Amino acid sequence: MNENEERALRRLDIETTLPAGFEKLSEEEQLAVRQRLIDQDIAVRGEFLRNAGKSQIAEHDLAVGIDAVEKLDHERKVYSKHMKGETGSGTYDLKIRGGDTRFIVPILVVIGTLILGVIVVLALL
Amino acid sequence: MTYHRRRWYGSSRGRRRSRATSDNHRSPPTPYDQSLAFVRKEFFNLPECKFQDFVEYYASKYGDGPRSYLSRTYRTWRNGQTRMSRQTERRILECVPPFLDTDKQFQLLGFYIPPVIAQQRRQVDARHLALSEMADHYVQIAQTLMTNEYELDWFVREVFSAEEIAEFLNVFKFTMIDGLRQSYHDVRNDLVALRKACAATDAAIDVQYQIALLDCPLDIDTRPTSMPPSLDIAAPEPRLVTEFRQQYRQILLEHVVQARATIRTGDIRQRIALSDVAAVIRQLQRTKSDQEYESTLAIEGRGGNFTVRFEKTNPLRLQYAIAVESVKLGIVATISAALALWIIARGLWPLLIFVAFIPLSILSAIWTKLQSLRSEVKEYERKRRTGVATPRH
Repeated sequence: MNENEERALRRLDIETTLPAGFEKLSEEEQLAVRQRLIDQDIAVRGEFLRNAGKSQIAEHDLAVGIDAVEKLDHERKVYSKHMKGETGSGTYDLKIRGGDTRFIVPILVVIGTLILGVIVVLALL
Repeated sequence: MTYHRRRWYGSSRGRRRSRATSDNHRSPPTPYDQSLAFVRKEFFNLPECKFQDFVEYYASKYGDGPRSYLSRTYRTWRNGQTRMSRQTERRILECVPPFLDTDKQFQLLGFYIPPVIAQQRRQVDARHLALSEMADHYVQIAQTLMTNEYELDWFVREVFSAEEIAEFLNVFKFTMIDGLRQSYHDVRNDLVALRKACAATDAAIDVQYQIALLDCPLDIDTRPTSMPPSLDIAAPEPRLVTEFRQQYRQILLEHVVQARATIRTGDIRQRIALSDVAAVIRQLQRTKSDQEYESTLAIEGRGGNFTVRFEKTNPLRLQYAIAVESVKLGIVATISAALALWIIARGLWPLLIFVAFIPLSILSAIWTKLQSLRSEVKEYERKRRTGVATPRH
């Protein structure tokens, strides 16, 4: 048995998770239970792959959106961007705001005035 | 139903529509109605030999008069010419089950599975739960499930022995408590994993969690790691001693198979959910320090649904807003005081009474805004500090 075959079998290994009292079932019942467990595992794996794919797409969309925001930031624009999407496990919603530097000017003016005042006072003393 | 394939013409359309509407509004049959219909059907299909035994049993219970009435009317009941009285229906319901085979008897008892589960569901429903009280609450629910007296129709207790009913209830108590135990483990596991996943971000985090089994929101008021990892609930496996033990084995096996599927699906859901959280955090970390964001993730975990909200605010902007409001407050207060002094100096007291409400309302509006900005800063800092567990004071 090559490594791939062994890995493939391990993926569908249900022996370790057989329910208690399984050995008391008839052969037919055991087979039916085994079949159900395998079907469950296949369904779960299918769901995982589908959702993982959706999540990757969502992350990519988010990355593209943030790239666009970065571009706006470089252009020194005031922006507010809203992104929405579906991930593998649910939904996301993102609002980004930025580029608004108007409020920094008065703060700098006040700080500058204070520093200037301190210098003037020190110089006078 | 395949109504969409039918062609409806003229008056028959309205008639069919009204029939369909009345079907939709008809309430589902109760377990009692289902049992009655089932027993009636079995009664009319009893083999000849069993029917004779049944008639003897019926006579021993209700006397010769009812026996001869039953023998006389059986055919007309069967072909629908005579309607069975309520009293006879009750008697049939009581006397037929002992003549049914085990599978059919269990089928009869099986009509009471949904009501028992519904009664259990009513007991586990909660309106709101705090994480710090979760373990105690779950233990309390388990105790209630174990000790509760379940409502069953009169004939169930007449037809089945106390041992059979106890076994029936014990099987469903066991499966429900097992589900409860699993739910606790899943909820705790979700919160611990989320806490780890969110450790990488410096944003303020607000988590809301809805427990799937209890269908109630969970207030995360403590660190999930401080909770016991599993619940210590004593729920002994039911002893299967009656004739229905094979059916119960099937039910328990079905429960185990379903639980396994739930665990596997939950595991996958949690992995995907955590990877989504990590992906969003990765992308949010690419934002600059002066950018502000609000991101909400509504995701499905193992034991329930999360709503995770990441928020980053520019503290400089907030402080600026507070400074602006403070300056506004100072200016308005100064002007108001100056005006008031001027009015007093002029001796225009009545005017002061009439116009005082104008500056007071402006001051009150600015004060309210200032307070809300301050509490916003405080709340933001609190959420940043506490992460996933956000104790509310």
